[in-house]
Amino acid sequence: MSLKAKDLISAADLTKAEVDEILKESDVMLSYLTKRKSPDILKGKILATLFFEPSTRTRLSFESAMCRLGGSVIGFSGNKGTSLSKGETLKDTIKNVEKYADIIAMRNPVEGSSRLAANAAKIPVINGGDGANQHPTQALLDIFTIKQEKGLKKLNVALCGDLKYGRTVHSLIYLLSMYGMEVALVSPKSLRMPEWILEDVKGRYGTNPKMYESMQDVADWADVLYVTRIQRERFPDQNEYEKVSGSYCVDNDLLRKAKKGMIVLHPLPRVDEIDDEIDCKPCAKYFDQAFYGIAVRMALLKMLMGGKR
Amino acid sequence: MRDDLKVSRIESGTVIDHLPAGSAMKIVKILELETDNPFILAMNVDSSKNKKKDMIKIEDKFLSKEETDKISLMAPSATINIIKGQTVTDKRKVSPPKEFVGILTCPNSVCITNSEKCETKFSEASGKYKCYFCERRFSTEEFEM
Ligand SMILES: [Zn+2]
Repeated sequence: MSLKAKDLISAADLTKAEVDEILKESDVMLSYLTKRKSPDILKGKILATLFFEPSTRTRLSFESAMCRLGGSVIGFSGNKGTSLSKGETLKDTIKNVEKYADIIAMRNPVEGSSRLAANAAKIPVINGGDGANQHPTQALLDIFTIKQEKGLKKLNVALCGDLKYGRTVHSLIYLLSMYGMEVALVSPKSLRMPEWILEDVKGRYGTNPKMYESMQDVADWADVLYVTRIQRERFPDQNEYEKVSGSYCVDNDLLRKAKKGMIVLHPLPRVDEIDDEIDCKPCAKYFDQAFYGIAVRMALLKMLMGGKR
Repeated sequence: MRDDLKVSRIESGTVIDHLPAGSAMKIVKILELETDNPFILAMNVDSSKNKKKDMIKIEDKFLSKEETDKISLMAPSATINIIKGQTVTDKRKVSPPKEFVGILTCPNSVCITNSEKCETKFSEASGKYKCYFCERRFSTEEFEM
């Protein structure tokens, strides 16, 4: 099994053997990071980060991972001033960039854009988020975080917040299902997980999540509380937003009801769905996630380019 | 309906039978018959099973695989009869293909296939069709043709 010269576009494309191997490789990379060593595995290689949608976290994480492996980075963030704003097709942009770089990490607000880019490119393409569709590297770093913090056993995981437009949860539910975890979905009715994803994970893994509308309902059940941001813009009626947003806030009150050993994860950025007062608590793992993310992206860059350790 | 209209024969061509009542106009549009071969349209014809059906007879036209696939999506119950010398030389039921390549438009307006020219691809997944690009699944009624 090898990921060499492949693309990483969707969590739905990954086999369990592949995810196992990515997690194993991430462990190795994590040990480099904790020892503050930078192996020159990808020396002389170039990563192009094409972020057609403004991003800081994911882009910097990819760039940091590439630098840690001794490689270099080129790229842009935001659509302004790029050839695309001048009407060039994505396909043509990719056809150019593949002449400049050895691997591409891309984010684009249009769904399926990374798949199109991967088809056009001769070099590997990593999807860093395509609209509301997929964000597989985030899901991989989420599952790696869960492995590090709780172990990959049969855990109860509650996915909370905007499950309709949130691409991270669309990817993560595949990996949780793959490892046989119990999944609960907590969201306002209007922001539920799309039917086609539920059908797919049920067909593949038999996952049949229960649905809730308040985090209070899952607090004493969940081993992992995965919180995502609910955007105000998703609600045409602002009163409706005010009404629901209170049910999606992690605070001391919620933690008092929580199952012992529960951890709180968040893909970040957060707004007010996790109270600052939680940050210093042992359950708060969302900043550790960002650290693990570097290890996972190092592993992916290495594996997709076939760099030797 | 007058019997002679119902059985009115064509010399050579195709009879698309057992279309759901009311679907014939859509099929006419899909096959772009308005601008092409002579055809006879019969709608709300009594079918054997106490139901109404539509049928289309097209002179001197034999359907391509693409056209048959499109019909199978809109009318899975349809049968195709090939007529040569006024007799039926071949009769078969349509069957929806496992994959539609370059035929359908993705109903997801924010799918890349709707903003950049490329060949669409949909594969069958538990009775629905999954877009290869945006990964959404659609039931057959959701496709516009
Ligand atoms: Zn699509």
